Amino acid sequence: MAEEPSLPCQPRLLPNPYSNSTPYPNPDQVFPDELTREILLWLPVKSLMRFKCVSKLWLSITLDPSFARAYRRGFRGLLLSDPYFERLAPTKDFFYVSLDGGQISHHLAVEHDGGRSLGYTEIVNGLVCFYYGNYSCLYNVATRESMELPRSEYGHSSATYHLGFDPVDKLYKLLKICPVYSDDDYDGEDLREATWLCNLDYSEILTIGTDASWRRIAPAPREMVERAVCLDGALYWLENRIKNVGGFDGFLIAFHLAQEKFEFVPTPGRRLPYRLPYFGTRLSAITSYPKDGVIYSHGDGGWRVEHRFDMPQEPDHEFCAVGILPDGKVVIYESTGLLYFPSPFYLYDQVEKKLTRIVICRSPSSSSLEQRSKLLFQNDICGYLSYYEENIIPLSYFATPYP
Amino acid sequence: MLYAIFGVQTFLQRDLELRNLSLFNRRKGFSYLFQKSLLFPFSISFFLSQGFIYLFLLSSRKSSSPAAIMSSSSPKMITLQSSDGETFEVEEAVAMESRTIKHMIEDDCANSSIPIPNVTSNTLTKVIEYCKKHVEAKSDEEGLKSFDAEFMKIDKDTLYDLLMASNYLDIKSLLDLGCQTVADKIKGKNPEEIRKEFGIKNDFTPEEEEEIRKESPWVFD
Repeated sequence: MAEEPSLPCQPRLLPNPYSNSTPYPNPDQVFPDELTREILLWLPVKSLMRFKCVSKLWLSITLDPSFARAYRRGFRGLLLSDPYFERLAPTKDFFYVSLDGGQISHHLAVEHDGGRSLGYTEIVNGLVCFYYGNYSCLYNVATRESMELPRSEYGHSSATYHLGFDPVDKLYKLLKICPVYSDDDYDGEDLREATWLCNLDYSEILTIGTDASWRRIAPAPREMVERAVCLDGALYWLENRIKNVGGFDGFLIAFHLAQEKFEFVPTPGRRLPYRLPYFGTRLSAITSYPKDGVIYSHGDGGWRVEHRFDMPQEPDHEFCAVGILPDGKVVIYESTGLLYFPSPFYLYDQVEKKLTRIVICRSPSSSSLEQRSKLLFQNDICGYLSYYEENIIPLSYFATPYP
Repeated sequence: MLYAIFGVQTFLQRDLELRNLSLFNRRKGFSYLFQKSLLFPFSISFFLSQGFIYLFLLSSRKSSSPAAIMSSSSPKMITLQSSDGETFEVEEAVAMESRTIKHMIEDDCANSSIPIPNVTSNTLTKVIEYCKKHVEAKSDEEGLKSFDAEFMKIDKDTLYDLLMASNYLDIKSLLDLGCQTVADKIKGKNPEEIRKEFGIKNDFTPEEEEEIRKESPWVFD
């Protein structure tokens, strides 16, 4: 390479990434290792799982947590699942809805042994816990990998578990509400009947991946039967109470995952029924009564109006806003009380002020769901609705170290 | 040098004044005025020549600065040399799409031609074509999308060479595009086909491989 003697710096060749690295164990290999990793980042989850057995290098790439964090090609959209109270069925059906086409992406049925139907927690970052009594297991919805978690002494069937994620310490915590009944023989299906007999002395918590056993913490203010919403490092439940004089008065029960404490948060007030969105990026409350929707967001200890919009109007149809997507769009559902197919969902774009309708098509085995959807809940979606992003983190990442 | 001229001039002026004084002392009147009038155009010419010398120095200093060249209208060209000796002249902005080349230019080591020993001329032509389009049509998202789609309609060997080159030259957008194309081509294959495609040796024992396959039976339908 020719160089002019007047240059102040040493001329050098472009860095050759192959010259210093160890020679390939196989000279026929087409791509160097880092290029293989780049290609794998673009594969769908199913293909990625299939190619784990290609070679030891490919296996180690898929099991690397930093690869899982860099992975961006997973499915993103809404996830619908069976109602909590339906414990008779041995399988759990998750329906995926991709947001651009409104189609069901695929239908996954989760089988488990024991024949007993399991309850499931909130779905947080693509992970969920199945539980019954003192049995619990962590499940990755995308990779379908499951791992049993430590058991505690409290084994009553009315225990409810709640999964949350603390973004500050990047830890997943499982909260267990442990009601103690004075009438210990009560083992009915409808927990609402049993509440007046219940005492709450303590709750238990497990930091997944760190704790080898459950820890006892302060009790919950009440039995938390319904799923929470995990936002901003806390779990939130909504308590809507109808006042005698008319109007509503509600508050939120918050559980802060870092401090592991319960707290009460008042709703924005004004005697309106608020809805806690099933998903969002930060704590919001939405009213959709009577005609316009208002989104309040919580910050600095108070509420402020973030956005006002017009709810779709149709005779004999009620609409309610159920969640806010990461890009800011509001998901609106037609709440006639039934989750039926085709289910009408609307996406409202806050910036462009546009409402688009997306439709979930009928899935092949939805007949059983229709039967179960006869359980009606006032102003609520029958079933669990969540925003879902596929996460390919291997569960070995959460294996507890030996004590 | 300016000061030297000024110094000489003042010295000469003073010298003249002194002489004037002596003249003044000797004879007054017309001869004194005659001397004074001579002095005036003399000092003027000195000032003018000083000015000219100053301007001349200023312009010569300006022209030797490389900054003057950069601010001119024609873009700076960079020469790239492929592994088989062919040279390519590209605009600096196009070459800077490659982070590797960008670092070299910023370190001021790229005044002569840059050798790219691992990339053949065919591949380098394609890379330059891609970078040129992405610099020219930067804001046109739709146009770039259709260009990328057309650009990727190439045979497998060219695609793999392009991928290696973009990795070597650190051109992120081309690397992502190439990886995405390769991933789409291989996503439906089974592990054995993958090994053949990429020349990968299976370093698992049959029992180990069976273990892994048993973990996720749902992916093999």
